[in-house]
Amino acid sequence: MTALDRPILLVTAMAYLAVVVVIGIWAARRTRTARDFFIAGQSVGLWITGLATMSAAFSGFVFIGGPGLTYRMGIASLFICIPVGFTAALLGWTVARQLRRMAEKHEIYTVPDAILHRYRSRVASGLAAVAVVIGTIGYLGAQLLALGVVVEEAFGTEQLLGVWSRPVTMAAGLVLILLYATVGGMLAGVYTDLLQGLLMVMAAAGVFFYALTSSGGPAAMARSIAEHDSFGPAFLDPLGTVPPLTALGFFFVFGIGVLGQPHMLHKFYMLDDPRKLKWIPALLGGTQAICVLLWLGIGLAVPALVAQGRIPPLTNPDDAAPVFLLHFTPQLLAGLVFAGILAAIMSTADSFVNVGAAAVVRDLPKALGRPLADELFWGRIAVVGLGVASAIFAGLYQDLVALVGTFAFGTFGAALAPALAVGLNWSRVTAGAASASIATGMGLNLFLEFLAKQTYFPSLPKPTFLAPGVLPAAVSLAASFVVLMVWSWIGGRDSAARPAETVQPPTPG
Amino acid sequence: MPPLTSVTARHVALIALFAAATTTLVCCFVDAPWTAPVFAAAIVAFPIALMLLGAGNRRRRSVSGGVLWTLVLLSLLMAGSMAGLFLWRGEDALLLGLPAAAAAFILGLFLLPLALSTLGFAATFDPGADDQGDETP
Repeated sequence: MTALDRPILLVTAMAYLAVVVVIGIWAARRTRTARDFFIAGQSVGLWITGLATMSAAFSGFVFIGGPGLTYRMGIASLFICIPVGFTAALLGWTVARQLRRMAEKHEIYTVPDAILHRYRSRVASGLAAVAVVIGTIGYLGAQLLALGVVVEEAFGTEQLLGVWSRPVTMAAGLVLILLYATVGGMLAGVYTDLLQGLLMVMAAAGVFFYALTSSGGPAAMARSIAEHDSFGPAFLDPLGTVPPLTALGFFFVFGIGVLGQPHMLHKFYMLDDPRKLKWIPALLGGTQAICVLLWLGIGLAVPALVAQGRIPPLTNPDDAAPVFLLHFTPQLLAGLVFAGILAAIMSTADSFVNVGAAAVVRDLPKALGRPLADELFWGRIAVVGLGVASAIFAGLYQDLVALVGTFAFGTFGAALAPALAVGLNWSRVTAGAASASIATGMGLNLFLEFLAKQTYFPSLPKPTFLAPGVLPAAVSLAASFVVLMVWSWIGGRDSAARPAETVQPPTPG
Repeated sequence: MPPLTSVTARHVALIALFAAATTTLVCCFVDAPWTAPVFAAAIVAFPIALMLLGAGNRRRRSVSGGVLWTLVLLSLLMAGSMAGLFLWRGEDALLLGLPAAAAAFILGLFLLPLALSTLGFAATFDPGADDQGDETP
């Protein structure tokens, strides 16, 4: 069954896309300066900031990749989203206020801008910009891959186009994202994020209900899975189907790495009043928790339905969410969820292309001492380049959506989290320590990931020197923290470094 | 719980953070029976140390008792739930329709910490702290 057999589903999804286009056109008319383009004019309130941060964080990675990964590795995959239990407050305590404060008094639009301001080091800022570009390509690649899965399943394009189905659907999605992002910039992204956030919350709650009822409730679901040969009791053991260090590594990378995610941190710059940060963690964490229900619900329902013989085993685990929506939810809800997933992919992709474009046209030229005259124009050109690079990357990486996303998340986290989370709160962190930490996190993650994945050079060893199941991103993130702290203690206070707390206070009112 | 001076809070946080980071890194290279539980303990300490560091460097003189209570309860809850994952493996008893370890995982590492940390943050949020704090390193 495809969306073409379910007209209400199709109409709902099309209506969403029409709304998105209208938002893009409206936002384009309001985008006049680089400040509008990159940080939405620092004019958005509590609800929009909270929902936009949630939407930017939760994307095709969560809605397509999450259930797919659960189908492949069981409940252990939930270690990726379980850290939501503390990450919102962690962001609030360690970086949100500090970044918002900086953006109020200085021309700070990006994470590398914040690093330049904090450390007064073009090396540290330039390295951060490189990390942002690499992570952006990875994350955008995951979005395009998810978009390909959704369109392919919903419209049955595989039957029409055969092996060309995935490239064609990804290319069509890329064109849509690029048109949208180049026109509207961050202002378009932030308002799409609001729409997406509302859709995601409603859709996730509805889908969770159908996931529970379609498979007979939690107890029947658990029993079916545990008794089936393909899954078994280990499927429901959080440490059962993968090496413990893989599961725990997910928890570490996604729990701490969140402090280096530019697409989320970027949103804190946009808040119109820093006092509103008080409720941002509750809003962010609460809405994220509701959205996790979709991952949890579909992730457990689909294996249970396979175990009960009601659907055939999946050949591609990433098909779990689309298959469930097409077969076990009412058309209107399925349409709403497909629209929500499209919204999730679109808004996250839009956030990333803007964050990445800012790194290319603003941060790297500044780090090299050659700032560009017309950032808005070159920003739109860079958006196209990043989109094409990410499509090529997604084609080459050849893995599940969630694992492509894990690579990108890990790159951001390992490179940027220590320099921001520790550096914004400890004045002893030096520019040298920040640069070394960023280079270690980024370089080690790329190196270990390359060794683990590459097949081009058979003579190169696999990273067997690591304990079984260790994620490259976990090693890189821990190493990056150790390097930053040791270098800071040994190197002493850097006279050039400027702690966040010495930034001038805001004008009252 | 009495407030802690921000200098003391920062020192405690930095020592805990360094210990957690080093332990996590070492565990990545050692294949031994103790590696997973030690890794688990380190990654629970990691976010708590970072939260204390952030709370202790708001240019305030102290970290309030409310923040300290929040962080202590959060660390106990997460450490206890993480221990449950290891201790209750293979248990048949169901909680909320799921095996005990899975239920502890979802409640103790996700839903309860979410409520505790976000409401603790909001309850201890001091909007005036930034204004006075920006003037002192």
